[in-house]
Amino acid sequence: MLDKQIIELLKPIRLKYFIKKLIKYLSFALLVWSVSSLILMLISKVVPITFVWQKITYPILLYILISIGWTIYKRPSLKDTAYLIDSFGLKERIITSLELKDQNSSISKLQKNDTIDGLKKNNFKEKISLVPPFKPLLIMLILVLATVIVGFIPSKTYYRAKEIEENKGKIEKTVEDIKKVEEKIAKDKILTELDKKEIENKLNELKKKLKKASTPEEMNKEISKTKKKLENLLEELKKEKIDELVEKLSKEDMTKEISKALENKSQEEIKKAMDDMAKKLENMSKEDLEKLAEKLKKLAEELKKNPELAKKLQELAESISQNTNGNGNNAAINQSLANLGELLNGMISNTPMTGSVEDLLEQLEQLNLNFGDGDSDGQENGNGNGNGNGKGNGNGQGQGQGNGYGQGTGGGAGDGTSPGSEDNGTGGTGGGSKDSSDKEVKDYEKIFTPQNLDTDGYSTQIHDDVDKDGEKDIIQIKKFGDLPGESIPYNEVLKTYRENAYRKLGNEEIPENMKETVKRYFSELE
Amino acid sequence: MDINENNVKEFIQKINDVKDEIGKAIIGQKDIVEQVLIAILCEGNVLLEGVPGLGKTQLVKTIGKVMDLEFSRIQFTPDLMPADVVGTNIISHDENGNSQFTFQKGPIFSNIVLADEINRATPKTQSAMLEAMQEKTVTVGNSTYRLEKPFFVLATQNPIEMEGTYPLPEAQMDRFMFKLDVKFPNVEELTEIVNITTVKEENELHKISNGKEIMEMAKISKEIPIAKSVMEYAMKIVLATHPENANSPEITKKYIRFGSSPRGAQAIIKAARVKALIEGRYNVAFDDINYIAYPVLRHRIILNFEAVSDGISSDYIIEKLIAEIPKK
Repeated sequence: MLDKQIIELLKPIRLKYFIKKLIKYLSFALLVWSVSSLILMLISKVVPITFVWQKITYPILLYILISIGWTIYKRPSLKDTAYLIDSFGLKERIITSLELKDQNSSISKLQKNDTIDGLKKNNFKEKISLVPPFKPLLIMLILVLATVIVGFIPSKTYYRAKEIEENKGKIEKTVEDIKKVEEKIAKDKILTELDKKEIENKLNELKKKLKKASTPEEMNKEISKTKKKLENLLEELKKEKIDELVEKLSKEDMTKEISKALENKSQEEIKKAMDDMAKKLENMSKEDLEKLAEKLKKLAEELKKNPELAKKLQELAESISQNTNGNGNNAAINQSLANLGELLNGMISNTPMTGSVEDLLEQLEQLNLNFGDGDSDGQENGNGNGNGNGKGNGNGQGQGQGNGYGQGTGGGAGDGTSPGSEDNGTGGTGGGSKDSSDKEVKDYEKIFTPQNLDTDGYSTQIHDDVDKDGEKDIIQIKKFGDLPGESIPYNEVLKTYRENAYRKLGNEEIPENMKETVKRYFSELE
Repeated sequence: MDINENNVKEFIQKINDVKDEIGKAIIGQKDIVEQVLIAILCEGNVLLEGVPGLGKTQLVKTIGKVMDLEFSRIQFTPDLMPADVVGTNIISHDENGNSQFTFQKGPIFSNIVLADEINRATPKTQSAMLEAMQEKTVTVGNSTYRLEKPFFVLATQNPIEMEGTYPLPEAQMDRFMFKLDVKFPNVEELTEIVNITTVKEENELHKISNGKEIMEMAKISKEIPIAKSVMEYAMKIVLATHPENANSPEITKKYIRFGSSPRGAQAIIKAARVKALIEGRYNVAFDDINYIAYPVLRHRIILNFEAVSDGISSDYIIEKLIAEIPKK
């Protein structure tokens, strides 16, 4: 009874003691935080540290939580409270009473009653001050002030850190963009699950490597590698599909020709095979047409790796089977054949398998361009070779050559010499003055350019005259068509040439140094 | 023993009354009076050290009167023999005229024995006191005589007159519960002393207590509980006086030659209990230990030459130990 009474009297005091300890540990936690903040800020003046202000402010919550946890761990026991109250003038009455717990001798009772009297007569709760310790808080304030002051001292490492932050931002955006493309790939109806899985794996690998990259060069490298891998993968997938198709089509007489044409990857042969097939269909009887339709349906079912092709075959089969007149010359059949022919041509050409894959490759190329050869940081003088599209890389504040091409402000100055191809009138010199780094986007001079841009052309021959020995030279050339050219602004021409060149750089096995040379060439043209 | 609140209140009242009554004859020296009373209630012996004329003998006499205790005084001189202290067998004649040995009790057979200038007696005579002080018995020849309780010895010694004296050996010093330094009175006290002794009639002292009551009060004080941390604190202080102890403070290792015996620890705890009761508390406090540490330990700490040459006193060392040893 007396023991319980004593404990009940101690409880509110114990709670206040706990709060006092909490305030004390919080104060020390804040002190430690302020010390670590100042150290971090000082280090950031020597070593670039990204998001330094966030790294200073966010951990304060952690310190607070730790101090709360520590206080709970070190929470005062009844004994600790007893010592504290005894030190206020009770002269070890409480601690003695706690040790005499459950003892009922006369002296024990006298002692406990004496303790209870002492606790009731004095308001010891008031003697426990909740005022935080002054010194640690004062030191903390001084350190925080020092941190803020040091933080506003400009330094090279600060700007470098900003650069890294920007890069990280870009990486995050890039990863987001990749995720969007991944979603498209996932929804794609043409690709099989296995295809999608393989593409997804490559993209996941890319995302991981991007997160580890710290410079645009590294990012660009990873993107290029992944793009190459994906292109190889897609080539392999395409080849598998074609091989499967070749194998399946070769088993049927009607489709043998198509199979050979596919194997030879010849568009002309495919066209010829489709025409032949159309002619044969015209002369086929109703029963033969029905049998053919059945075979085509069966073939469509077997083409697991080619759902799009299977669909086209299915359509053809349905068109044939719907022809009740026995007339193989039917608009629907012809349309289905045309669709099939187009699809087969697409398979053997360089076009991507699906729209989503095309988007993916485009996205990767765009990323390649975004993270091209080193963004100039704009604070240093000049020489940024930025390729960012109008993001102002290499722009603005630099004095010098301002090579950052594109539409941003302060867009490159450059000693433009005309690019031009070998046989066109190039017109004037490249636009832009040398020191136009702070000028607005200017009107570029137009130059005459044939409309053969962005194509690969086709091979042809030029026959020379017969010489006195009766021989003549035959020269192999690439022709880009006979369409007339037009005057296009210089920067667009340059852009087109550059994009083509970069695409080739990404697809071809070219030494890195040569790639750098090419990129530098284009960046210097402005 | 069943103690009730009335017992304790009576105890406190009695002690205060004794102090007040003693205060009529002894001016000032309040601490000394209280500490002597504490020692009496602990059945301990006290060594009073002070220059002549400070009222040491007067104090003992006054205590004897107020507490209604049989008092005897032994003036120690170099030629004092042990038999002069404890008594001796003398030849006497019985009623039939036959010779026989009869034990004649010495002055030690009393309740309070004042051993005045104990350091003047030879070690042989000093050691005669040892058995009585510790065992409360006297052995003469083959016979052992029990001393009547309460029994305690108040010894005095003169710190100035060292010529022709025999310093008390450590073994004998250890048998004194307390060693009290009687200080010279201040101006007010001295004025009052002079007034009382030269002008006024000597106050008549009343008997406030008796031997039986003293024994009962001593029993009550033994019941007072002591918390574990307070007990440990007292033990730590005693252990801290030992230079060979690895945990002893630097001052101990530098200035102390020998530390206190376990008797010192016993004395601290016994006396602290009485002190707590005098204060009106039913438990021993850290402050009680700090208060008692000085009279208990100052004669139990044997200082080395460095302490003597540096002018370091035992009290100074005790003060430092109390400051350094943590209470929890």
